[in-house]
Amino acid sequence: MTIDETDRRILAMLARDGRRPGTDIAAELGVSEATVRARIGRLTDDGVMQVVALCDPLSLGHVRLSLFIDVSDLTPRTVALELAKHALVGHVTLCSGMHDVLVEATCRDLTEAVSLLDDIRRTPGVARIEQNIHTRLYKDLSWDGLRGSHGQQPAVGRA
Amino acid sequence: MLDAVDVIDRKIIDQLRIDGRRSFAQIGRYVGLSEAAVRHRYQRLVSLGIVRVVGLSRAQAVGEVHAHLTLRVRKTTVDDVAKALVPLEEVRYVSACVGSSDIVAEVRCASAAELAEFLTETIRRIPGIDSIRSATLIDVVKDSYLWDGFRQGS
Repeated sequence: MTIDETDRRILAMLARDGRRPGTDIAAELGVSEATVRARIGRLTDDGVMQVVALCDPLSLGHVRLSLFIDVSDLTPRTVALELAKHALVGHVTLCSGMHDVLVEATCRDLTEAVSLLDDIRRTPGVARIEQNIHTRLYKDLSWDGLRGSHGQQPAVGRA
Repeated sequence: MLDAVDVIDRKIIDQLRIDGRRSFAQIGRYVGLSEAAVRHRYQRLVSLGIVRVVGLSRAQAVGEVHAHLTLRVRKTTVDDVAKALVPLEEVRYVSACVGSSDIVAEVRCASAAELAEFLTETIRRIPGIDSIRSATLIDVVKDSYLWDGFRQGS
């Protein structure tokens, strides 16, 4: 789909506050609330954007993993689709560069992380897993940051 | 931190993970609270910095380039390098790690040329980076902010 200036402005506003009321957005853009609602619906349905709640999994006591996976025998997409079925896996992306597939997962604890890694090892086509266990979040995808982390807001006088 | 989030808070967060714009009235019906009570709990979670609701655009869909970086740090602390990455506009996500790398970061640039500039100039000015490996994301297969552990969590 093509994205116009109005869409881009809506995306920019929701990037700061995903719950900004439609009436507010409409007033700033000079369009009707119905238009804003339709635009947000279209952007979401077409997979351009999703509005979601972010938390720091570490602050909730969970374990977050970033795994870079090398694939052999099968295509990276086949393996990626298989890994995407795992309930603990939140993000699966095909990459170009050093590795074939990036998997991001959140587990309740290390025991669950170990069992997830075993499940991934057993997945056909997975040749090698580069494992990273997150220990501290410094910057997150929100505008003003979660507790203990910075957001996307431009730095002014930051440490 | 865990004490600050009870079972009902988790259910509210869970509803907002599915759809960040779901109305407080709708969420209230699901968790068995009034709209005002849900709003109050949400505002508390936001003020504590436990939750943020954001619109996340997919890089490919808006014509941007998205890359993941893994860094190794040398002769300084991981904390120093992570803090130097935070203010950079192109950097969207920074996390310290143990394992194959010391830091995992996400970068979004308007074009491949900007990503090249970032990787060959901007990031090289940060002292203490021993090695950088980058993976450009070419297709998103799954992008979900729900996870099972959260629902099962204490």
